[in-house]
Amino acid sequence: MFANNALRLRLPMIAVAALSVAMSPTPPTTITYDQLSSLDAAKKCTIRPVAGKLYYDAIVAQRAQGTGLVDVEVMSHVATRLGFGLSPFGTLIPIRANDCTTVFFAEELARQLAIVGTNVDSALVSSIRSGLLPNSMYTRAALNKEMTRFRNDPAALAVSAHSVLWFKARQEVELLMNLRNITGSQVLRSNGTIEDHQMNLEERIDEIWINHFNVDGSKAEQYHGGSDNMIEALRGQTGGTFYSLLATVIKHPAMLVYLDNQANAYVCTSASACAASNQNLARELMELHTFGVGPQTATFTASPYTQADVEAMASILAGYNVKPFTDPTSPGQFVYNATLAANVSITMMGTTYTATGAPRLDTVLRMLANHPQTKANICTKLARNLFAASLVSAGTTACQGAWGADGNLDAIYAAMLGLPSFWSKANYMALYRTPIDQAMAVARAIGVNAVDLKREVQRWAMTHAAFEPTSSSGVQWVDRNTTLKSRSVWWTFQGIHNELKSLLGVYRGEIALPIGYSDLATDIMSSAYVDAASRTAFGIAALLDGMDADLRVDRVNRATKDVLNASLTTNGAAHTKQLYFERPAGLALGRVVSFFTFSPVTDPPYMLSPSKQAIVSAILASKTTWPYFPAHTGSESIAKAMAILALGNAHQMRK
Amino acid sequence: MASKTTIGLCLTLAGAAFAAGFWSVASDTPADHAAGSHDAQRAKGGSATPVPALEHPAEDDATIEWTGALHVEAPPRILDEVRRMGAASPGLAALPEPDRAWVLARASMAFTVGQTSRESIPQHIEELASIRQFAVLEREAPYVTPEDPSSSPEKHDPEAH
Repeated sequence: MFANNALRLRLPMIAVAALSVAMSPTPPTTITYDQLSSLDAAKKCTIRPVAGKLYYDAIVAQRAQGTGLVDVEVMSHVATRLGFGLSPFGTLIPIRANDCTTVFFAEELARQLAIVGTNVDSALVSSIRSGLLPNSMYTRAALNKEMTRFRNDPAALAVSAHSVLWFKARQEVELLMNLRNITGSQVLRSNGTIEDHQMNLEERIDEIWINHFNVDGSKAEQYHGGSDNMIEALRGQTGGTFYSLLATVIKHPAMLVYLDNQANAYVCTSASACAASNQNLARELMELHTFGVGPQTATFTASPYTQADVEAMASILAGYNVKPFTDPTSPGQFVYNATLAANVSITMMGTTYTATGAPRLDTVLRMLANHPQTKANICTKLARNLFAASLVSAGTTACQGAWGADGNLDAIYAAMLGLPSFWSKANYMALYRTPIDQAMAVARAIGVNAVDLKREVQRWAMTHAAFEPTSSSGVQWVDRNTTLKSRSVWWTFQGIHNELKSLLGVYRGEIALPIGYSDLATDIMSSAYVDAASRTAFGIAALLDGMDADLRVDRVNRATKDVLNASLTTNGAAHTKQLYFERPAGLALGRVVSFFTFSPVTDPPYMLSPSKQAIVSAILASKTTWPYFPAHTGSESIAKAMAILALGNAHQMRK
Repeated sequence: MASKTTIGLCLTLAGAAFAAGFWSVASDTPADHAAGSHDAQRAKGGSATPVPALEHPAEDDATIEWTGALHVEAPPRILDEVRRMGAASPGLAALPEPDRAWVLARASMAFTVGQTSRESIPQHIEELASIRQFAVLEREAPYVTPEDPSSSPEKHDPEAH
């Protein structure tokens, strides 16, 4: 029996591994990494855009009006708005920005748009995931069966192996989101160097939708639903239609359980007194997932629906249920319980929907997905994530114009990103990073990379096979996970997760509110938050020290160590910050400032704000007695100083 | 319970920067963050006016007796015919005795008011038993927060490697 189960567990991984080779980041077909300096006498790239011509033309059109982005700003824009911040690896770095890199990004945007919704990890991400996050590799049904087995084993029950398995599987999917955000745009070239495409459109888009359809993974009842599984299901639909995305998520066991539809049944207490017993999912489906407004009230009459419509929606949702995870055949899977459903006609928002069984919900969801209020709400939400406040209206209009039948998401993304105003100065660094953006961007800027992580995984011979639940008793499985957690690389990665938590307030998968987190970071902006963001940079730099420094390949940091160290000693932190992190001719390792409008460099003394100066001074003063690793006083300390210098300012918090 | 947790989370989100220090982070306690969504959705919207925490029927608490949307004074009677049909139900047999009564009573009510036909009673019993298993699992084998020190990176000693 175990052999069969093991095979069942492995099959999805084999398929993913095979596909991931094909889906690894590769340069667009029309321009290679080696052609990124192929400029003519007029500094124009000799390679012209093909698939990305729409985006390149939009960039040029905006420039022609005198309000466009120069090449280095285009690079920064795609990295921060369509990715998770600049990383210092490869040829696509600020100091090498030119017309060819802009052509590259236009082509790359077209390439990445085509793979949104495929949910296939790159080869690097897959290999790291296998060793570092082995419990994220298994299907929900497989995990549920093993949990039942552990629960029925007294020895395993004594160590709560079933709870640990549930927790680890969920937690590792959160860590997987971090891994994808940080390293999903990186590829290892044959010459051993890392090439980072900077843009990470699929993860950026998916994060918007995961937040829109937020499910609290830590809700105890998620035992049955598996929020980890829902994220993967959602990621497979973000390149389809809004209707297909909505239908997938609403009928997913995790959402059904999170919003209590497993307790929703159409109940009659007399022949004429029938109602749904739980309205939670119905209410959020209308108020959050589609219309974006509450039902009509005495003072709010603009809403397209009423409380009676919520009750009707709840009746339509009755019967959509989840099998308990102890079910022997399909634990935790979706089931339609026909006798718990409202097997009568239901009138909602003026339309009567006859009792057609399970398909009735699809009819209603399609109506919701194509309602003008839904278009306005969803398009505004997408536009708010992509455009400055003053440009949201234009973005929303482009989205609504591209909606088509059921909300064609690929067409919508393309229409919005093809607007010249997306590439305007007014849209550059105009949004504040969310806590997730901030933590991921800090990790990328400091040098967290796929090659270091993969090398660590290989060094410890970490593979998913050792953690396969079917291959062990519950007690053995818990022991193996304890071993996993003893590896420094695991702590480093978990530490980044904890840094994110310190900014967000909760782990990213444990946001209890159905509305998710605010995608307008200004909602939480404060001086204390800015300070915390600086400390995040500091903390992640320190965490990197937890991995063997000798094995790190972030050569950008190592090569500049002596230069920076000397400058810090001779000129002080303030001057070093300005010279190496802000000046165009410097290393530009921090944020990319607007070179188009950059004011002349001022020689020392350049004054930081007192609070920032105090932080920098404290770092430098303690670099020889740093509490984490007292024996390390070399690149580790400078890495910390770089982190705080590069990231400890408010501008860095923009995207 | 849910209200308190939700309000706590709101405060946490509003003052994220004041959350636990970045070196020492509170331990993982998934169950602590569980929140009833029907309370949560009342707390959203960013209104500056505090929303009073209302006590709602714990519809999402599967351990509490479910009386349905339309509450009745007395527990519904179990029909002999339904009880006989229930004797052949594997789903019902898997439930403890009090939960079997819960299923049979609701199946009897559904049949009495014409919601379920005689032919559908066995299926209705199976489906009621299926959703009742959620309550049984929550009551008899609750989720136990695993002891997970993973959020304490300062405990890590690289020299150990």
